[in-house]
Amino acid sequence: MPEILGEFEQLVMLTVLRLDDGAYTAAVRQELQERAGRDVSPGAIFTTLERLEDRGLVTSRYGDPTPERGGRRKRYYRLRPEGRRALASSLETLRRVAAGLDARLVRP
Amino acid sequence: MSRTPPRAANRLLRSWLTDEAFEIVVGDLDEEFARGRSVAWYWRQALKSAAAHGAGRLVSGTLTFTGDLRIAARTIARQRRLALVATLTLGLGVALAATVLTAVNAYLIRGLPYPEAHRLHNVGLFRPGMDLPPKLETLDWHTLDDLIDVAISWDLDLFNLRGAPYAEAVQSTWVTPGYMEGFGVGTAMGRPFGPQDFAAASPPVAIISHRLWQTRFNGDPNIIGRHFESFAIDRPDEIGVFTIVGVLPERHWHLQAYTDILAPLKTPNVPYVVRLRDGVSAQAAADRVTALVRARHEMPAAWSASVESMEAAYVLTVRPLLLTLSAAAGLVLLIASANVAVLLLIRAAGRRPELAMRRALGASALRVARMLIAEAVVLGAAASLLGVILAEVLVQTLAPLADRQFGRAVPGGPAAFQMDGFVLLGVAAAGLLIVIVCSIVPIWASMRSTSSAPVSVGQKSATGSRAQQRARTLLVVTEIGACLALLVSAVVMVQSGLRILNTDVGVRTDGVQVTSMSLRQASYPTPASRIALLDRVAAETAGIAGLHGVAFTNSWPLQAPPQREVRGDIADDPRPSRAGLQAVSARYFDVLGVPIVDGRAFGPADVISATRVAVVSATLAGRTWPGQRAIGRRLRVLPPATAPPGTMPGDFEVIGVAADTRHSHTDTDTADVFVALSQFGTGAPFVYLRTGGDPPVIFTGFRSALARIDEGVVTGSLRPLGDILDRQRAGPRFLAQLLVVFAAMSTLLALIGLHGVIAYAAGQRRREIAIRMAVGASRGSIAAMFLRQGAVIVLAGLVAGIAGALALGGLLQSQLFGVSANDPVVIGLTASAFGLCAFAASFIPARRAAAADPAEALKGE
Repeated sequence: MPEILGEFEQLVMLTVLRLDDGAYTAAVRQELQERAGRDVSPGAIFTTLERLEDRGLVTSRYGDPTPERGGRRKRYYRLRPEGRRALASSLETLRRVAAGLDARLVRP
Repeated sequence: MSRTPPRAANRLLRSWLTDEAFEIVVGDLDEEFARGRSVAWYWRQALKSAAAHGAGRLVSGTLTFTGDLRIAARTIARQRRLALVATLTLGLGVALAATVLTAVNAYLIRGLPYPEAHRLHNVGLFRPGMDLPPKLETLDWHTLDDLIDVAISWDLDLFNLRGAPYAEAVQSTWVTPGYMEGFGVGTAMGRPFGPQDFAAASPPVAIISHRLWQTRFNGDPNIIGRHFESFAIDRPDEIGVFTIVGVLPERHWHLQAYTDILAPLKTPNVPYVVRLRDGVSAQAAADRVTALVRARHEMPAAWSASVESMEAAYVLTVRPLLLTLSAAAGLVLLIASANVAVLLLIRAAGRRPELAMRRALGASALRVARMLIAEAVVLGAAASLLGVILAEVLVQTLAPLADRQFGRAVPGGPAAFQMDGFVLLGVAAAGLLIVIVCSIVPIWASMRSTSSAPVSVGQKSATGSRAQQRARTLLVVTEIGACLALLVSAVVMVQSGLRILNTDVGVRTDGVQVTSMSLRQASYPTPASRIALLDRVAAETAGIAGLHGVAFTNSWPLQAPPQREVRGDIADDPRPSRAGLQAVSARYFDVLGVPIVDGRAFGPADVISATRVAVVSATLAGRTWPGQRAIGRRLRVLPPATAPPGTMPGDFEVIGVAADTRHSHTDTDTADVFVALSQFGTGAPFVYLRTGGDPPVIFTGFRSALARIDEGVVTGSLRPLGDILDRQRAGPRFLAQLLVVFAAMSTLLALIGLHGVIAYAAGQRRREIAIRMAVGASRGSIAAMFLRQGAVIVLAGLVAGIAGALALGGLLQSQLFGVSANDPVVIGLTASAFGLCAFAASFIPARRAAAADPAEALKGE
């Protein structure tokens, strides 16, 4: 039984997947803002990723410190296989449940 | 132009986020800020981040906190001595607080065990020192029905039960319908009284207590409908056959213990207690009662009826006692907590390398704080647990004594003197206080010391951070202050107690036992017949082995007798004088060991037909006939103001002057008139027996002798006179004892705390001391340095303590006798003595520090 993911967790994981090697927290934040139109705080992004990491769905590594970060390191994330499976299963569930309802959703 | 991110936002995140989160979150913020985001944006995102991170961690935090607790428990358990000292100290503090709270709960919080007891009010119609106006019961009390829901009245009585298995006097009450309704009296078996039971012609019925049912009727299951035969002391001519219609519940409690038999009171009676209607104020009721009485009776202009809360009146004397104890227990708990906090702080300073290491390895300030809180929680929980166990022992010990120690029966009986949910809640609050005191201060100190300046692991600082040092100093100042306040209270209470114990009531109580007798009106209708009986009793009991004397009076032992206005035979004497009046038998002075300082005591010649004679107390003699001999003078005793008009004053010839006696240790007016019982008689004498052997054996002899004269004369129980006196002193003595224990405990704790702080400071500064000595400082100057530090702490504590003592004195004053709670001499002396002890406590470690070998100290580095 794969992990059940919350909506925000799905968004974050999809963004990490999309950003591929460039998936560090600030990038995830900006991508979410552009694509989902959501202004999420860095703290919320980090907390979510931290939680996903605790659950074994993502993995992380530190990058090099950069001057614009005040000498602080970036932290990059990738999906682990378990994360991919959980995300796929979540989206599949969503698709199945939503199947055939598109027409009704757009009707006034 | 280079912009810098807002530092305050940065600091906020630093204290709120884990170090891991901090690095990433602030990195992100700075990165976007560098790309042109505004300061406002930075702040908004910082706040949102803190909130998001905090909320996420709250869930996981509670999970990890249980883990923290386990670690904390292990940490504390490893330091056995600290754990033991801290748990014991705090446990004792909690136990005292819980015990005092149990008493507060039993007397003040739970209140009297009657339905809606707050609506019950005592009605007082008395004028001090005077009897009630006559015929008040015939007033139309129903005109007050708009204010009074239930009018409650009763008549306490002794029922003398006749027949098998033995004649027995039991404490009983004639009750009104209002009594049953107003006090919510129900029955466990049978029925309560109905309206028909109060009809004048109805057959006598009774409800008996569980105790009487069990003892006299052997718990007969068919008790309802059984009869008993009795005559009541107040109605001696009505031998009644009562039908038992009900049995009271086993836990029935009433504030008067006269509950073995309840019987319907069929005559109208003045309401003693009223249950006011909802929202009616006591003052409004008092005004209406005053008007009702004035409409019929001429009362002095200043007179008014009083209507006061029954609960407040019941605990009037207990309340200041309990408030003082509460304050004292609170102070002890505070001192204990402060002491443990000092210990923890000292340890925290020792742990600075550890804490710095943790921080360096990435633990956030929050994480370190959580660790310290966890340790405080473990200590608080252990202490609360120990406290509850100890308190249970204390409460069980105190419960049977509470009636006596507090001078008032526990509302609901001794079984109600128990720890309940409320007390446990109080213990939890005490535990929380401990946790807060024991964690806040170390956390605050550790924050100050570890976050502002990077501390290299292993660095030997002087005395811990300034913050820690200040926190310790503050705690010890608090301890010393609280302790001095307690000490002063204890000293004045002991002073007052000693004064009470040393107050000579003028009566030799040792070997004197008291009982009472009741004579039936039918058998002894005239004063002469009553006097004759008492003479016979005195004569027939004279031969009982060990019984050295028998005396009778008409006045309760060691209670103020009625006060009367008296006049000497000095013409136009402008000074009206008041004196207590009682009738005593010939041997009264001899049995109670009261010397006759002039003239003679009563004798066989003082009979009804002879000239009426009186013995006056030395005070009264001196006041009435200053500088003259009282013997042979005439004394007029005026009738009470409430006596029927035309009552003649009594004129007496003074035949003797007795040494002053007091009716209680607080009795300040020793003016008394004694008249001869052999000239008046009484139907309900109190009997003093001077015994020289086993009182119960002698009493049995006395009772048999009495039975040979008349089996119908009933005697009460036997009590040592000393007991009655002890009972009067019980409250103040109890308070004095407890305060001494509290003060001793806290003195010990405060001195340990002070010693610990100075010793620790000295230990930390060994290197500095060594260097100072190496460059020529003398041992004296080193010791002086620490003494100065101690002196400042002690002085600050003493100032706080004097303020505390003055505040506590306000609570204490009502419990004191002949001593002021704010006596500057007492406060000064106590403060000096305590100050010296405290100074000594800092002297020992200071000297030790100075005595250290500098070479050794430096080698240790």
